[in-house]
Amino acid sequence: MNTLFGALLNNPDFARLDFTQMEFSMAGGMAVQRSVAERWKQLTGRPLIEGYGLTETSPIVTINPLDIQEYNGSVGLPLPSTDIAIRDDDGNDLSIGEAGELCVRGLQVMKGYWNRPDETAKVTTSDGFLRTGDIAMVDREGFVRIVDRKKDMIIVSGFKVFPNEIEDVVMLHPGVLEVGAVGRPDPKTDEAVEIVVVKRAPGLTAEALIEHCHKHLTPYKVPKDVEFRSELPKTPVGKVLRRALQ
Amino acid sequence: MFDDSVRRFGPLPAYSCMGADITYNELDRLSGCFGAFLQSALKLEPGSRVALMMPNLLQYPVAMFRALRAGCTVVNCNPLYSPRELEYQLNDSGAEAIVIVENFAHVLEGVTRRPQLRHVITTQVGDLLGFPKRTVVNFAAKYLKRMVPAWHLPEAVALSTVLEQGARLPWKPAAPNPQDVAFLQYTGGTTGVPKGAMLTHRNLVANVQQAYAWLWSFLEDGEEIVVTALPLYHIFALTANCLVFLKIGARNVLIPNPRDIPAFIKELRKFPSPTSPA
Repeated sequence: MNTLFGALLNNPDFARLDFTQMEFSMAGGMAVQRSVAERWKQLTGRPLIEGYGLTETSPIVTINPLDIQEYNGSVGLPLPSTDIAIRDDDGNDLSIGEAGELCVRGLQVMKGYWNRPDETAKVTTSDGFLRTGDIAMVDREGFVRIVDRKKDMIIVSGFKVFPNEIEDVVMLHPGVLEVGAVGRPDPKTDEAVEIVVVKRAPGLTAEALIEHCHKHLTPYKVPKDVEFRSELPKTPVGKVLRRALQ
Repeated sequence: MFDDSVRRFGPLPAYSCMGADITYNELDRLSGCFGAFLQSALKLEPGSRVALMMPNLLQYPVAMFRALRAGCTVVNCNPLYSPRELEYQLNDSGAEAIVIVENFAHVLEGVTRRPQLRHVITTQVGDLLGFPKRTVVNFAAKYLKRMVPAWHLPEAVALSTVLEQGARLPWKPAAPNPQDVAFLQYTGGTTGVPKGAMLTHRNLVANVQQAYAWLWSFLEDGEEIVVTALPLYHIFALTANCLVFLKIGARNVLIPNPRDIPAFIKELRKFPSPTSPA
Protein backbone atom coordinates (compact mmCIF):
# COMPACT_ATOMS: atom_id res chain seq x y z
CA MET A 1 0.00 0.00 0.00
CA ASN A 2 2.69 2.42 1.03
CA THR A 3 4.48 1.48 -2.18
CA LEU A 4 1.35 2.00 -4.28
CA PHE A 5 0.50 5.38 -2.75
CA GLY A 6 4.16 6.31 -3.15
CA ALA A 7 4.12 5.33 -6.83
CA LEU A 8 0.96 7.35 -7.46
CA LEU A 9 2.46 10.41 -5.79
CA ASN A 10 5.56 10.07 -7.96
CA ASN A 11 3.49 10.40 -11.14
CA PRO A 12 2.84 13.97 -12.32
CA ASP A 13 -0.53 13.07 -13.90
CA PHE A 14 -1.84 11.89 -10.54
CA ALA A 15 -1.39 15.39 -9.13
CA ARG A 16 -3.77 16.74 -11.79
CA LEU A 17 -6.73 14.58 -10.72
CA ASP A 18 -9.68 16.12 -8.89
CA PHE A 19 -9.87 14.95 -5.28
CA THR A 20 -12.70 17.16 -4.02
CA GLN A 21 -15.19 14.27 -3.97
CA MET A 22 -12.89 11.75 -2.34
CA GLU A 23 -14.10 10.89 1.12
CA PHE A 24 -11.21 8.87 2.47
CA SER A 25 -8.23 6.75 1.50
CA MET A 26 -7.37 3.75 3.51
CA ALA A 27 -4.04 2.07 3.90
CA GLY A 28 -3.24 -1.26 5.43
CA GLY A 29 -1.17 -4.33 4.79
CA MET A 30 2.10 -2.58 5.52
CA ALA A 31 3.49 0.33 7.45
CA VAL A 32 2.90 3.75 5.93
CA GLN A 33 5.97 5.95 5.89
CA ARG A 34 5.53 9.43 7.29
CA SER A 35 6.87 11.03 4.12
CA VAL A 36 4.24 9.26 1.98
CA ALA A 37 1.42 10.14 4.39
CA GLU A 38 2.41 13.80 4.46
CA ARG A 39 2.70 14.12 0.69
CA TRP A 40 -0.68 12.37 0.30
CA LYS A 41 -2.35 14.90 2.57
CA GLN A 42 -0.66 17.79 0.81
CA LEU A 43 -1.78 16.64 -2.63
CA THR A 44 -5.28 15.32 -1.98
CA GLY A 45 -6.24 17.43 1.03
CA ARG A 46 -7.27 14.28 2.91
CA PRO A 47 -5.23 12.34 5.41
CA LEU A 48 -4.36 8.73 4.71
CA ILE A 49 -6.30 6.53 7.14
CA GLU A 50 -4.02 3.81 8.38
CA GLY A 51 -5.21 0.55 9.87
CA TYR A 52 -3.67 -2.73 10.93
CA GLY A 53 -4.47 -6.33 10.34
CA LEU A 54 -3.14 -9.69 9.29
CA THR A 55 -4.31 -12.69 7.34
CA GLU A 56 -5.11 -14.59 10.53
CA THR A 57 -7.63 -11.91 11.59
CA SER A 58 -9.66 -11.68 8.35
CA PRO A 59 -7.77 -9.13 8.40
CA ILE A 60 -8.77 -5.89 10.21
CA VAL A 61 -7.83 -5.41 13.87
CA THR A 62 -7.44 -1.65 14.31
CA ILE A 63 -8.21 1.42 12.25
CA ASN A 64 -7.94 5.17 12.69
CA PRO A 65 -11.07 7.29 13.08
CA LEU A 66 -12.04 8.59 9.62
CA ASP A 67 -12.26 12.18 10.79
CA ILE A 68 -8.64 12.62 11.88
CA GLN A 69 -7.19 15.76 10.36
CA GLU A 70 -3.54 14.78 10.32
CA TYR A 71 -1.54 11.59 9.98
CA ASN A 72 -0.82 10.53 13.55
CA GLY A 73 1.65 7.72 13.00
CA SER A 74 -0.63 5.19 14.69
CA VAL A 75 -2.73 2.36 13.27
CA GLY A 76 -5.73 3.60 15.24
CA LEU A 77 -8.07 1.95 17.72
CA PRO A 78 -9.30 -1.67 17.96
CA LEU A 79 -12.51 -2.40 16.02
CA PRO A 80 -15.72 -3.13 18.01
CA SER A 81 -15.73 -6.58 19.69
CA THR A 82 -11.96 -6.81 19.43
CA ASP A 83 -9.68 -7.26 22.48
CA ILE A 84 -6.00 -6.44 22.29
CA ALA A 85 -3.15 -6.99 24.72
CA ILE A 86 0.54 -6.02 24.67
CA ARG A 87 2.63 -8.78 26.20
CA ASP A 88 6.26 -9.55 26.94
CA ASP A 89 8.04 -12.74 25.87
CA ASP A 90 6.75 -14.54 28.98
CA GLY A 91 3.14 -13.64 28.26
CA ASN A 92 2.78 -10.92 30.93
CA ASP A 93 0.61 -7.92 30.12
CA LEU A 94 2.59 -4.69 29.69
CA SER A 95 1.37 -1.18 30.43
CA ILE A 96 0.66 1.93 28.41
CA GLY A 97 3.71 3.10 26.47
CA GLU A 98 5.63 -0.19 26.76
CA ALA A 99 6.57 -2.09 23.61
CA GLY A 100 5.68 -5.78 23.41
CA GLU A 101 3.97 -8.35 21.22
CA LEU A 102 0.51 -7.36 20.06
CA CYS A 103 -2.07 -10.08 20.80
CA VAL A 104 -5.65 -10.12 19.46
CA ARG A 105 -8.91 -11.80 20.45
CA GLY A 106 -12.20 -11.42 18.59
CA LEU A 107 -14.71 -12.92 16.17
CA GLN A 108 -12.42 -12.21 13.23
CA VAL A 109 -9.59 -14.42 14.53
CA MET A 110 -9.10 -17.54 12.39
CA LYS A 111 -10.08 -21.06 13.36
CA GLY A 112 -6.43 -22.15 13.08
CA TYR A 113 -3.97 -23.22 10.40
CA TRP A 114 -5.07 -25.95 7.99
CA ASN A 115 -3.60 -29.32 9.05
CA ARG A 116 -1.00 -27.57 11.24
CA PRO A 117 -2.02 -27.89 14.90
CA ASP A 118 1.64 -27.33 15.87
CA GLU A 119 1.76 -23.96 14.07
CA THR A 120 -1.67 -23.03 15.47
CA ALA A 121 -0.48 -23.81 19.00
CA LYS A 122 2.57 -21.56 18.56
CA VAL A 123 0.41 -18.49 17.92
CA THR A 124 -2.43 -19.15 20.37
CA THR A 125 -2.33 -18.20 24.07
CA SER A 126 -4.11 -20.15 26.80
CA ASP A 127 -6.66 -17.34 27.15
CA GLY A 128 -7.58 -17.38 23.47
CA PHE A 129 -5.46 -14.54 22.06
CA LEU A 130 -3.65 -14.74 18.74
CA ARG A 131 0.01 -13.73 18.96
CA THR A 132 0.65 -11.51 15.94
CA GLY A 133 4.46 -11.44 15.95
CA ASP A 134 4.29 -7.66 15.72
CA ILE A 135 5.84 -5.38 18.31
CA ALA A 136 3.48 -2.57 19.29
CA MET A 137 2.64 -0.12 22.05
CA VAL A 138 -0.56 1.60 23.14
CA ASP A 139 -0.55 5.29 24.01
CA ARG A 140 -2.60 7.10 26.66
CA GLU A 141 -5.51 7.70 24.30
CA GLY A 142 -5.63 4.01 23.39
CA PHE A 143 -4.09 4.41 19.93
CA VAL A 144 -1.90 1.53 18.81
CA ARG A 145 1.53 2.09 17.33
CA ILE A 146 3.23 -0.72 15.47
CA VAL A 147 6.94 -0.66 16.10
CA ASP A 148 7.96 -3.49 13.77
CA ARG A 149 7.86 -7.17 12.97
CA LYS A 150 9.40 -9.17 15.78
CA LYS A 151 11.40 -11.28 13.36
CA ASP A 152 12.82 -8.28 11.45
CA MET A 153 14.29 -6.76 14.58
CA ILE A 154 18.03 -6.06 14.32
CA ILE A 155 20.13 -6.43 17.47
CA VAL A 156 23.12 -4.06 17.50
CA SER A 157 25.35 -4.63 20.56
CA GLY A 158 22.30 -5.83 22.45
CA PHE A 159 20.17 -2.84 21.46
CA LYS A 160 16.99 -3.43 19.52
CA VAL A 161 16.78 -1.63 16.19
CA PHE A 162 13.56 -1.68 14.20
CA PRO A 163 13.95 -1.46 10.42
CA ASN A 164 10.74 0.59 10.06
CA GLU A 165 12.27 3.43 12.03
CA ILE A 166 15.43 3.45 9.91
CA GLU A 167 13.46 3.28 6.65
CA ASP A 168 11.21 6.12 7.80
CA VAL A 169 14.22 8.33 8.46
CA VAL A 170 15.97 7.45 5.19
CA MET A 171 12.77 8.20 3.25
CA LEU A 172 12.79 11.74 4.63
CA HIS A 173 15.81 12.38 2.39
CA PRO A 174 14.45 13.86 -0.85
CA GLY A 175 16.97 11.94 -2.97
CA VAL A 176 15.54 8.54 -1.96
CA LEU A 177 12.82 6.72 -3.88
CA GLU A 178 12.64 3.47 -1.89
CA VAL A 179 14.56 1.82 0.90
CA GLY A 180 14.81 -1.43 2.85
CA ALA A 181 16.78 -1.81 6.10
CA VAL A 182 18.21 -5.15 7.20
CA GLY A 183 20.70 -6.53 9.68
CA ARG A 184 24.01 -8.00 8.58
CA PRO A 185 26.54 -9.87 10.71
CA ASP A 186 29.16 -7.64 12.27
CA PRO A 187 32.26 -8.87 14.14
CA LYS A 188 32.08 -6.11 16.76
CA THR A 189 28.39 -5.51 17.32
CA ASP A 190 26.88 -8.94 16.35
CA GLU A 191 24.64 -7.21 13.84
CA ALA A 192 24.84 -3.88 12.05
CA VAL A 193 22.25 -1.96 10.05
CA GLU A 194 22.53 -2.02 6.28
CA ILE A 195 20.26 -0.08 3.94
CA VAL A 196 19.45 -0.93 0.34
CA VAL A 197 18.34 2.16 -1.53
CA VAL A 198 16.75 3.05 -4.86
CA LYS A 199 17.74 6.58 -5.81
CA ARG A 200 15.37 9.34 -6.86
CA ALA A 201 18.23 11.81 -7.37
CA PRO A 202 21.00 10.27 -9.50
CA GLY A 203 23.70 12.24 -7.64
CA LEU A 204 22.82 10.77 -4.21
CA THR A 205 25.85 9.39 -2.33
CA ALA A 206 26.22 6.93 0.54
CA GLU A 207 28.05 9.56 2.59
CA ALA A 208 25.18 12.03 2.25
CA LEU A 209 22.70 9.38 3.45
CA ILE A 210 24.79 8.38 6.43
CA GLU A 211 25.17 12.01 7.41
CA HIS A 212 21.41 12.43 7.09
CA CYS A 213 20.85 9.41 9.36
CA HIS A 214 23.29 10.79 11.96
CA LYS A 215 21.08 13.86 12.25
CA HIS A 216 17.97 11.83 13.09
CA LEU A 217 19.18 8.65 14.82
CA THR A 218 21.24 7.59 17.80
CA PRO A 219 24.64 6.28 16.63
CA TYR A 220 23.97 2.52 17.00
CA LYS A 221 20.98 2.83 14.67
CA VAL A 222 22.89 4.59 11.91
CA PRO A 223 23.50 2.30 8.91
CA LYS A 224 27.04 1.00 8.46
CA ASP A 225 26.56 0.17 4.80
CA VAL A 226 24.58 1.62 1.94
CA GLU A 227 23.91 -0.37 -1.19
CA PHE A 228 22.27 1.16 -4.25
CA ARG A 229 20.03 -0.89 -6.52
CA SER A 230 17.71 -0.12 -9.41
CA GLU A 231 14.75 -1.83 -7.70
CA LEU A 232 13.82 -3.70 -4.53
CA PRO A 233 12.21 -7.16 -4.28
CA LYS A 234 8.58 -6.86 -3.14
CA THR A 235 5.59 -8.95 -2.13
CA PRO A 236 2.35 -8.82 -4.20
CA VAL A 237 1.04 -5.93 -2.09
CA GLY A 238 4.28 -4.03 -2.54
CA LYS A 239 5.96 -4.61 0.82
CA VAL A 240 9.72 -4.58 0.52
CA LEU A 241 10.87 -8.16 1.06
CA ARG A 242 13.54 -7.63 3.69
CA ARG A 243 14.43 -11.32 3.76
CA ALA A 244 15.31 -11.20 0.07
CA LEU A 245 17.59 -8.20 0.65
CA GLN A 246 19.84 -10.00 3.08
CA MET B 1 -25.05 -11.09 3.06
CA PHE B 2 -24.59 -11.73 -0.66
CA ASP B 3 -28.31 -12.43 -1.18
CA ASP B 4 -29.19 -9.39 0.82
CA SER B 5 -27.06 -7.12 -1.39
CA VAL B 6 -28.44 -8.67 -4.59
CA ARG B 7 -31.99 -8.07 -3.32
CA ARG B 8 -31.35 -4.48 -2.27
CA PHE B 9 -29.07 -3.30 -5.07
CA GLY B 10 -29.92 -5.65 -7.99
CA PRO B 11 -29.81 -3.26 -10.98
CA LEU B 12 -26.85 -1.19 -9.71
CA PRO B 13 -23.33 -1.81 -11.00
CA ALA B 14 -21.41 -4.08 -8.63
CA TYR B 15 -18.06 -4.36 -10.38
CA SER B 16 -16.41 -2.38 -13.16
CA CYS B 17 -13.30 -3.44 -14.98
CA MET B 18 -11.69 -2.13 -18.17
CA GLY B 19 -14.77 -0.08 -18.98
CA ALA B 20 -17.35 -2.87 -18.53
CA ASP B 21 -19.82 -3.25 -15.65
CA ILE B 22 -21.69 -6.13 -14.13
CA THR B 23 -24.69 -5.43 -11.93
CA TYR B 24 -25.57 -7.19 -8.70
CA ASN B 25 -28.23 -9.15 -10.59
CA GLU B 26 -25.74 -10.27 -13.26
CA LEU B 27 -23.24 -11.23 -10.59
CA ASP B 28 -25.95 -13.39 -9.03
CA ARG B 29 -26.90 -15.01 -12.36
CA LEU B 30 -23.35 -15.62 -13.65
CA SER B 31 -22.03 -16.95 -10.42
CA GLY B 32 -25.15 -19.14 -10.19
CA CYS B 33 -24.21 -20.74 -13.52
CA PHE B 34 -20.71 -21.28 -12.23
CA GLY B 35 -21.96 -22.76 -8.96
CA ALA B 36 -24.33 -25.10 -10.80
CA PHE B 37 -21.43 -26.37 -12.86
CA LEU B 38 -19.31 -27.00 -9.75
CA GLN B 39 -22.18 -28.88 -8.12
CA SER B 40 -23.77 -30.79 -10.98
CA ALA B 41 -21.02 -31.29 -13.56
CA LEU B 42 -17.93 -31.51 -11.35
CA LYS B 43 -19.80 -33.06 -8.40
CA LEU B 44 -17.86 -30.99 -5.89
CA GLU B 45 -19.06 -31.62 -2.36
CA PRO B 46 -19.42 -28.84 0.20
CA GLY B 47 -16.03 -28.35 1.85
CA SER B 48 -14.09 -29.10 -1.36
CA ARG B 49 -11.30 -26.66 -2.02
CA VAL B 50 -11.43 -24.53 -5.17
CA ALA B 51 -8.30 -22.56 -6.09
CA LEU B 52 -8.52 -19.18 -7.85
CA MET B 53 -5.52 -17.79 -9.69
CA MET B 54 -6.14 -14.44 -11.36
CA PRO B 55 -5.65 -10.69 -10.97
CA ASN B 56 -8.54 -8.27 -10.34
CA LEU B 57 -10.96 -9.15 -13.14
CA LEU B 58 -14.77 -9.45 -13.26
CA GLN B 59 -14.29 -13.23 -13.25
CA TYR B 60 -12.86 -13.06 -9.76
CA PRO B 61 -16.03 -12.11 -7.83
CA VAL B 62 -18.12 -14.35 -10.10
CA ALA B 63 -16.01 -17.40 -9.33
CA MET B 64 -15.49 -16.57 -5.69
CA PHE B 65 -19.09 -15.93 -4.66
CA ARG B 66 -20.51 -19.06 -6.14
CA ALA B 67 -17.71 -21.31 -5.00
CA LEU B 68 -18.57 -20.01 -1.54
CA ARG B 69 -22.30 -20.42 -2.04
CA ALA B 70 -21.82 -23.94 -3.34
CA GLY B 71 -20.28 -24.57 0.08
CA CYS B 72 -16.73 -24.83 -1.24
CA THR B 73 -13.64 -23.36 0.38
CA VAL B 74 -11.76 -20.82 -1.75
CA VAL B 75 -7.97 -21.07 -1.95
CA ASN B 76 -6.53 -17.80 -3.27
CA CYS B 77 -3.37 -18.14 -5.34
CA ASN B 78 -1.04 -15.34 -6.31
CA PRO B 79 -0.90 -15.26 -10.13
CA LEU B 80 2.83 -14.57 -9.96
CA TYR B 81 3.59 -17.85 -8.17
CA SER B 82 6.31 -20.05 -9.61
CA PRO B 83 5.31 -23.66 -10.43
CA ARG B 84 7.04 -24.79 -7.22
CA GLU B 85 5.04 -22.39 -5.02
CA LEU B 86 1.79 -23.25 -6.77
CA GLU B 87 2.46 -26.97 -6.42
CA TYR B 88 2.98 -26.59 -2.69
CA GLN B 89 -0.22 -24.63 -2.22
CA LEU B 90 -2.38 -26.90 -4.41
CA ASN B 91 -1.20 -30.04 -2.67
CA ASP B 92 -1.20 -28.63 0.84
CA SER B 93 -4.78 -27.36 0.45
CA GLY B 94 -5.91 -30.45 -1.47
CA ALA B 95 -7.65 -28.27 -4.06
CA GLU B 96 -9.84 -30.32 -6.44
CA ALA B 97 -10.47 -27.55 -8.94
CA ILE B 98 -8.73 -24.40 -10.09
CA VAL B 99 -10.00 -21.38 -12.01
CA ILE B 100 -7.02 -19.79 -13.72
CA VAL B 101 -6.55 -16.95 -16.17
CA GLU B 102 -4.88 -18.20 -19.37
CA ASN B 103 -1.92 -15.87 -18.96
CA PHE B 104 -0.71 -18.07 -16.10
CA ALA B 105 -1.84 -21.48 -17.38
CA HIS B 106 1.75 -22.33 -18.33
CA VAL B 107 2.68 -22.09 -14.62
CA LEU B 108 0.07 -24.75 -13.80
CA GLU B 109 1.37 -26.85 -16.66
CA GLY B 110 4.78 -26.68 -14.96
CA VAL B 111 3.30 -28.28 -11.82
CA THR B 112 3.95 -31.96 -12.45
CA ARG B 113 2.75 -33.43 -9.19
CA ARG B 114 -0.85 -32.52 -8.40
CA PRO B 115 -2.67 -35.74 -7.55
CA GLN B 116 -5.78 -34.14 -6.06
CA LEU B 117 -6.48 -31.50 -8.67
CA ARG B 118 -9.13 -32.95 -10.97
CA HIS B 119 -10.60 -29.93 -12.74
CA VAL B 120 -9.05 -26.97 -14.51
CA ILE B 121 -11.21 -24.07 -15.66
CA THR B 122 -9.44 -21.44 -17.76
CA THR B 123 -10.55 -17.92 -18.53
CA GLN B 124 -9.24 -15.18 -20.80
CA VAL B 125 -8.68 -11.66 -19.52
CA GLY B 126 -11.54 -10.20 -21.58
CA ASP B 127 -14.21 -12.82 -20.76
CA LEU B 128 -17.29 -11.13 -19.26
CA LEU B 129 -16.48 -7.75 -20.83
CA GLY B 130 -19.31 -8.28 -23.35
CA PHE B 131 -19.16 -8.22 -27.15
CA PRO B 132 -17.21 -6.75 -28.97
CA LYS B 133 -14.84 -5.71 -26.20
CA ARG B 134 -14.32 -9.27 -25.08
CA THR B 135 -13.02 -10.37 -28.47
CA VAL B 136 -10.81 -7.31 -28.89
CA VAL B 137 -9.23 -7.57 -25.44
CA ASN B 138 -8.67 -11.33 -25.69
CA PHE B 139 -7.14 -10.99 -29.14
CA ALA B 140 -4.90 -8.11 -28.05
CA ALA B 141 -3.71 -9.92 -24.93
CA LYS B 142 -2.88 -13.06 -26.85
CA TYR B 143 -1.50 -11.86 -30.16
CA LEU B 144 -0.57 -8.18 -29.88
CA LYS B 145 0.80 -7.86 -26.38
CA ARG B 146 1.87 -11.52 -26.24
CA MET B 147 0.75 -11.75 -22.61
CA VAL B 148 -0.29 -15.40 -22.90
CA PRO B 149 2.62 -17.85 -23.06
CA ALA B 150 1.80 -21.10 -24.85
CA TRP B 151 0.25 -23.76 -22.61
CA HIS B 152 -1.22 -27.19 -22.91
CA LEU B 153 -3.56 -28.66 -20.31
CA PRO B 154 -5.68 -31.46 -21.80
CA GLU B 155 -8.22 -31.43 -18.96
CA ALA B 156 -8.92 -27.67 -19.20
CA VAL B 157 -12.47 -26.39 -19.72
CA ALA B 158 -13.10 -22.78 -20.74
CA LEU B 159 -15.06 -20.55 -18.38
CA SER B 160 -17.41 -19.60 -21.22
CA THR B 161 -18.33 -23.29 -21.61
CA VAL B 162 -18.79 -23.58 -17.87
CA LEU B 163 -21.19 -20.63 -17.77
CA GLU B 164 -23.10 -21.87 -20.82
CA GLN B 165 -23.55 -25.39 -19.48
CA GLY B 166 -24.10 -24.14 -15.95
CA ALA B 167 -27.05 -22.05 -17.15
CA ARG B 168 -28.87 -25.27 -18.03
CA LEU B 169 -27.94 -27.23 -14.92
CA PRO B 170 -29.95 -27.42 -11.71
CA TRP B 171 -28.61 -25.37 -8.83
CA LYS B 172 -29.19 -25.84 -5.17
CA PRO B 173 -27.53 -23.19 -3.03
CA ALA B 174 -25.74 -24.78 -0.12
CA ALA B 175 -26.29 -23.14 3.23
CA PRO B 176 -22.80 -22.96 4.72
CA ASN B 177 -22.62 -22.97 8.51
CA PRO B 178 -20.94 -19.99 10.15
CA GLN B 179 -18.09 -22.21 11.33
CA ASP B 180 -17.42 -23.66 7.85
CA VAL B 181 -14.15 -22.57 6.29
CA ALA B 182 -14.74 -19.97 3.56
CA PHE B 183 -11.09 -19.31 2.69
CA LEU B 184 -7.80 -21.07 3.11
CA GLN B 185 -5.66 -17.99 2.97
CA TYR B 186 -1.96 -18.77 2.67
CA THR B 187 0.55 -16.81 4.70
CA GLY B 188 4.06 -17.16 6.05
CA GLY B 189 2.70 -16.06 9.44
CA THR B 190 5.29 -15.40 12.12
CA THR B 191 7.39 -18.47 11.43
CA GLY B 192 7.79 -18.19 7.67
CA VAL B 193 6.44 -21.69 6.90
CA PRO B 194 3.65 -21.17 4.33
CA LYS B 195 0.34 -22.39 5.73
CA GLY B 196 -3.36 -21.90 5.13
CA ALA B 197 -5.18 -19.76 7.68
CA MET B 198 -8.72 -21.19 8.03
CA LEU B 199 -11.04 -18.19 7.78
CA THR B 200 -14.64 -19.15 8.42
CA HIS B 201 -17.81 -17.53 7.11
CA ARG B 202 -18.30 -16.19 10.63
CA ASN B 203 -14.79 -14.64 10.66
CA LEU B 204 -15.40 -12.80 7.40
CA VAL B 205 -18.94 -11.63 8.19
CA ALA B 206 -17.75 -10.49 11.64
CA ASN B 207 -14.91 -8.46 10.16
CA VAL B 208 -17.23 -6.88 7.58
CA GLN B 209 -19.69 -5.92 10.35
CA GLN B 210 -16.88 -4.56 12.52
CA ALA B 211 -15.52 -2.46 9.68
CA TYR B 212 -19.05 -1.33 8.75
CA ALA B 213 -19.67 -0.18 12.31
CA TRP B 214 -16.61 2.03 11.89
CA LEU B 215 -17.46 3.39 8.46
CA TRP B 216 -21.24 3.55 8.16
CA SER B 217 -21.74 7.18 9.04
CA PHE B 218 -19.43 8.16 6.17
CA LEU B 219 -21.06 5.95 3.54
CA GLU B 220 -24.28 6.11 1.56
CA ASP B 221 -25.87 2.78 0.57
CA GLY B 222 -25.91 2.29 -3.19
CA GLU B 223 -24.03 5.55 -3.84
CA GLU B 224 -20.36 4.80 -3.33
CA ILE B 225 -17.49 4.03 -5.67
CA VAL B 226 -14.46 2.14 -4.40
CA VAL B 227 -11.27 1.65 -6.38
CA THR B 228 -9.63 -1.73 -5.83
CA ALA B 229 -5.99 -1.62 -6.85
CA LEU B 230 -4.70 -4.15 -4.34
CA PRO B 231 -5.10 -7.76 -5.45
CA LEU B 232 -8.30 -9.49 -4.34
CA TYR B 233 -6.40 -12.69 -3.65
CA HIS B 234 -4.89 -10.76 -0.73
CA ILE B 235 -7.00 -10.65 2.43
CA PHE B 236 -6.98 -6.86 2.84
CA ALA B 237 -8.66 -6.06 -0.47
CA LEU B 238 -10.85 -9.14 -0.19
CA THR B 239 -12.49 -7.95 3.03
CA ALA B 240 -12.00 -4.19 2.95
CA ASN B 241 -12.90 -3.64 -0.71
CA CYS B 242 -14.75 -6.64 -2.05
CA LEU B 243 -16.93 -7.58 0.93
CA VAL B 244 -17.46 -4.34 2.87
CA PHE B 245 -18.45 -2.46 -0.27
CA LEU B 246 -20.62 -5.32 -1.52
CA LYS B 247 -22.60 -4.95 1.68
CA ILE B 248 -23.37 -1.30 0.95
CA GLY B 249 -24.10 -1.74 -2.76
CA ALA B 250 -21.09 0.20 -3.99
CA ARG B 251 -19.59 0.13 -7.47
CA ASN B 252 -16.23 -1.57 -7.20
CA VAL B 253 -13.70 -0.54 -9.84
CA LEU B 254 -11.22 -3.38 -10.31
CA ILE B 255 -7.69 -2.48 -11.42
CA PRO B 256 -6.05 -5.58 -12.95
CA ASN B 257 -2.52 -4.21 -13.00
CA PRO B 258 -1.80 -1.33 -10.60
CA ARG B 259 1.90 -1.51 -11.47
CA ASP B 260 0.95 0.15 -14.74
CA ILE B 261 0.61 3.53 -13.05
CA PRO B 262 -0.35 5.60 -16.15
CA ALA B 263 -3.21 3.18 -16.99
CA PHE B 264 -4.31 3.20 -13.35
CA ILE B 265 -4.48 6.99 -13.32
CA LYS B 266 -6.46 6.95 -16.57
CA GLU B 267 -8.97 4.65 -14.87
CA LEU B 268 -9.18 6.95 -11.82
CA ARG B 269 -9.99 9.85 -14.13
CA LYS B 270 -13.10 8.02 -15.39
CA PHE B 271 -14.53 7.83 -11.90
CA PRO B 272 -14.17 11.30 -10.44
CA SER B 273 -15.42 10.59 -6.94
CA PRO B 274 -13.92 7.48 -5.45
CA THR B 275 -14.63 6.85 -1.79
CA SER B 276 -11.38 5.14 -1.22
CA PRO B 277 -8.61 4.11 -3.54
CA ALA B 278 -7.57 1.38 -1.16
